[in-house]
Amino acid sequence: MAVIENRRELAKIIKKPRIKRPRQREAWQKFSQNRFAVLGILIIAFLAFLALFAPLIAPHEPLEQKPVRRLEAPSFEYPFGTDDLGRCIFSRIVYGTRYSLGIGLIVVALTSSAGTLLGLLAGYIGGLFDETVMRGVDIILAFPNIIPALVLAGLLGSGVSSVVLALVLTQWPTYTRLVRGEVLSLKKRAFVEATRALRASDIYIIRKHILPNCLGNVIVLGTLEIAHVIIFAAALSFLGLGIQLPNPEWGAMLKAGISFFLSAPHLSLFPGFMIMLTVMAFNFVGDGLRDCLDVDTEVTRA
Amino acid sequence: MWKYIAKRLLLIFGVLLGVTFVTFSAMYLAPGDPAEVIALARYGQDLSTEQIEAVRAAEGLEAPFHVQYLTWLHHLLHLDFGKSVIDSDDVLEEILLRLPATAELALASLLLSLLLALPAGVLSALKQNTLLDNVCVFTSLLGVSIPNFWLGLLLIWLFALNLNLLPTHGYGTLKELVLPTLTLGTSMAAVTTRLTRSSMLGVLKQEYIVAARARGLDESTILFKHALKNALLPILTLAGMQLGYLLGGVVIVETIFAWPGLGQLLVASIFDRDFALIQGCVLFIAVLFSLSSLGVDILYALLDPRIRYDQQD
Repeated sequence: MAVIENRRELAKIIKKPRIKRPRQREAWQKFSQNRFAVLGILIIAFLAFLALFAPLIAPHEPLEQKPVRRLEAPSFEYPFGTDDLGRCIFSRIVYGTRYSLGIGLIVVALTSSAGTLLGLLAGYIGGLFDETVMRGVDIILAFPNIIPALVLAGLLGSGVSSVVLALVLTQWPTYTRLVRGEVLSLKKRAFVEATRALRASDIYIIRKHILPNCLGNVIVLGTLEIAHVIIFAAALSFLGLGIQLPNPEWGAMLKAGISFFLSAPHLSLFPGFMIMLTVMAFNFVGDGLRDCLDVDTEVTRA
Repeated sequence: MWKYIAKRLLLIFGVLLGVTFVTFSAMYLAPGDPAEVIALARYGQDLSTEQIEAVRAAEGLEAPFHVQYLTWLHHLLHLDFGKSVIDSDDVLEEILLRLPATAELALASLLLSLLLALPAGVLSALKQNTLLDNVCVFTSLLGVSIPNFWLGLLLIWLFALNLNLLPTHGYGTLKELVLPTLTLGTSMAAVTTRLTRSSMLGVLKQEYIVAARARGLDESTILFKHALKNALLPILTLAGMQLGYLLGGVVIVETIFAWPGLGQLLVASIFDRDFALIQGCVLFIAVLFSLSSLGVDILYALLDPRIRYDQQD
């Protein structure tokens, strides 16, 4: 009988394993169809592999000098050639991924969490707290681009920790401003009002309703910010205010190679290419995420 | 409008006051003894503790934080940025001396970036998903990812060292302007192209464009008279933000090309730990940046009659 058959059909449809969060799956599909984004993920995975297994991959010690073999062109023994002190450029590049990825990830982990927290609180609490935080944001954003980090890194002295500190202290306001704006508009939405009417606590509302709705924006911004931070860190080292030689940091290596640019351009070309590759990978992924999470952040802090 | 401008100016003044406080605190808390730096510059390497202490007393460096800060602020309000610790040049004079070079580079780069980005972005949007569009999208993504210092070096390598067409560095002639402008301009163009494209795509989807098509207007009228005007508005905001990018970019580009501008001055002063000069440069840049953001916002309101700042709150 048609009715029963229909009912069976209906049961099938109802019992059909519920697609786990269709929106997430849809987003993932959109992301995986973006060729650039997938390429970016692959590049990042490759770089992470280099960073993790650097001692196994690098054919030489990154600091080992062989003055007799200085400024050699790429060869089988030295895939990227040697630098002015006879160090293996390939090995130094491999170890250099640790600096770039490490600094990028640490800085963004710290700034995104601190910046988001401040933004959440400022937007949600409002009042004097909001005023104070946002004036702080205004003050830091009044220094354009790399300039505040440059001055701070210069004052703090060279080294990884001062680069990280300089970047963390200057890069958090973007998240705060973004999140606060989101919170202000979310706070007025009906579903938040309704939850509040049900006497949900503030912490519950922030955790269950406000934060999840801000997260997409933060993730996109964070990914693009990794790219920024990596460029900034390399630029600081390039200017001589970041990580210093003989440490195998790409920006510092690039800078050191300039003196030999005419006779041995590979000294600078390889590190520069690696910076570009890394930054590009994060930009690809960030762009892909923006499209698939359908967030509308004009992240134009180039 | 005037009310809005006055309000913004007041706000900017507040922010800049905060900027002075942050800048001064950073210098104050920074490791290193400013008295020693000054004494080193004056008396050379062999320093006695007495000499350092004498300098400390003479420069008022032993005063408590708030006294030093307020004194500095008082001088600032009289446009006295202090004197360079290293060569006792007047800081403001030094900055103003360097400003034209930076302005020249910044304007040339901005111009180049717009000349490249606007046609590229518009074409890319008009021919969406064609080969041309893909090339534009990819090139601009590449451009966003290339660090300035790396692009500058590549250009030096190609044009100066291999082709021998242009000088590697220097300042003065038009030839010397080319490479720094190319470095800064193209990387800015990348960002602007992306925005022009997305803004144009958004406008082209709107109903008034469809209506214009339905009325049988020819494509160039639709493009230039209807679409472009609206698509360019967001780009204006970006151009304002780009100024921040420019000010940051000049620091690096000026260093590579030995361009005697503000950026080079700032980097040199950081290396010398010339506190007065660092403070002066940073503050000057912040003022420049804040005022130009205001300028862009005002321009925006003038161009787009839908935006009326007065009516908000």
